[in-house]
Amino acid sequence: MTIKLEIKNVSKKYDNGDGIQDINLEVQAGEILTLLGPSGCGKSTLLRSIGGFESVTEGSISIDNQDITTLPPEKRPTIMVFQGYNLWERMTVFENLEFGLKLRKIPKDERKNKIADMLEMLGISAMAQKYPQQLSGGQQQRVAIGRALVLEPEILLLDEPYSALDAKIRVQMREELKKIQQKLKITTIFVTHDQEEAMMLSTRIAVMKKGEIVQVGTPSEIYNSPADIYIASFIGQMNFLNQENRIIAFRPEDTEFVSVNENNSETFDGVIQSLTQMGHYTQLFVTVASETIILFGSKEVIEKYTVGSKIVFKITKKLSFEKEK
Amino acid sequence: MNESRGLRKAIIPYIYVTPAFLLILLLIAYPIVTSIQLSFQDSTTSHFTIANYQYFLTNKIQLFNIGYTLFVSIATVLLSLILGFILALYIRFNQNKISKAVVALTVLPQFIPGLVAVYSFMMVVRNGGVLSRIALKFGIQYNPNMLYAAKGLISMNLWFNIPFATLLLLASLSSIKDASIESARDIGAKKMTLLKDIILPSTYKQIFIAGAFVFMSNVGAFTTPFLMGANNPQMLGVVLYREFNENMNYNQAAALSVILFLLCSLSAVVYIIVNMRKEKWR
Repeated sequence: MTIKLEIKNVSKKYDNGDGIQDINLEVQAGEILTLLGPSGCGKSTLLRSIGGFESVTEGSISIDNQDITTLPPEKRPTIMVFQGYNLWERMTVFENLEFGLKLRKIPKDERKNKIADMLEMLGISAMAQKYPQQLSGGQQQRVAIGRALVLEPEILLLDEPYSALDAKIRVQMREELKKIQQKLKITTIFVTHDQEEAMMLSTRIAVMKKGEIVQVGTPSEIYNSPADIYIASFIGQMNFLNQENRIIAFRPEDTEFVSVNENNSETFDGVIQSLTQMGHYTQLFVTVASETIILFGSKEVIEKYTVGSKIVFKITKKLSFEKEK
Repeated sequence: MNESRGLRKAIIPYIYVTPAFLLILLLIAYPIVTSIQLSFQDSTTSHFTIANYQYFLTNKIQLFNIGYTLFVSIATVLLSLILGFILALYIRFNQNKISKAVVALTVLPQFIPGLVAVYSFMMVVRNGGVLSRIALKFGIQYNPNMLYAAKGLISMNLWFNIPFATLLLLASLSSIKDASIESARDIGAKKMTLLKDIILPSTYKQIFIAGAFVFMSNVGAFTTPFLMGANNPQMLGVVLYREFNENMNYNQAAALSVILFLLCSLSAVVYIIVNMRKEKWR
């Protein structure tokens, strides 16, 4: 594995106190790394710093061992896809893709071929002469990706590219992006606040909180061993129960329903508040002492229990965190 | 019951429109019709004639006045558009104290009465005025020679029109998304390319519209040329005033009014063409 992008001790402070602090991150060639976090956590600032749209206050950024910290966007081998497609609306799809190639003084025939290939790969060849406003959201998004990829950047930067699309198309676009990325093996950095999107797309995820990276790992590492309560609550569904001075956390699927309480620290009594058939499984809302948790059971569970009845369950896999002061 | 309610519903819009419609008829349509009528009448016999127009379109002095008016107006349009666009660009792409101060300054002239502004400007630029005195402090004999000359008129017009053009152009520049500019920079667009391929295509309409407004208000201008202009050549607004108040030749005055109206409608045509133009990308 080669390191494509190296970020060392990067900080960027805005006048209002927001920003990112002391970011250290290495991105491997050919991976999709997702910057994940709620809005205002600094993920876009970090991405914009990589793209050259923000000048960092401290630290260094290098691509292929070349320091690019002070270079303007046009001198960096990165291309960014902005939030909400953001195509040039007075240019056709073809012209949108051609603009960058022209600026790079690529001969006309070569430009035509490259654009034709790109549109073909994205499945929008028929749209070449249309204007952005005549396209659907999904098509515009494909053009935006195509406009970036046709320039063959070393690193593709995506800033919440799917936030303007509806849920169904979003899922489809993710699949497409993943396929294209695997085909071109292009190093990709993806910013999102959607943990499902991050789980689905990423080779690795960097979870951010208040301007810092709190954990970097593969989706399953992050899901199975979150470093703290914040990450545990942010990724997937997680239940929390207070136990003296600690908090135990467990996934709704990591439980077993048992008939007798063995009175150990893994077994709990609860009262069922609701039962919902979710298809191939049952979702239960259960109160344990005064806390409400979610449990998943097999689809037969709904026939065995009723709302208001007592349930005993055993946690098969749990995490334990110290209480935050 | 139902029918009368329907009838009442149908009448209501007309009731709302009627006062405005009558006002327009009385204050705009009626004077225009009488002016046109008057312009084709002989001043003594009241017979039909085109002599009133002939006078303005053949008389050397009057032709020169028309040319002078067009020259001053077009120069004002071009200069206020260029300078206003540069200012608007600066304000749009720089968020600092200077740009905020400039925005405040562009609004200021709207609060100063025209007459006051013209007199103040004259105090500054007339020979022996503020500029000359400052120059004298440094031992330099300097007279701007701005009064009674086209450059003085144009400068004053710019004082009025640059802020106006800036505000109009700023509105259209503000509608360009930052990301649009950034993504163009990202792929290597230099400043001139940004201007030519991204910024101008989304602002040219407002540029024409601002130009049309500036042209209209300057072709028929009166206050500034009356106070600052020379006796020859004269701006048409002043010529019209003289025809009306000094020569009392109402028929010629009417003909000149129609000519001024036609000149103004040139910019109305530009305005309409630009607005009606169907854009492929929409």
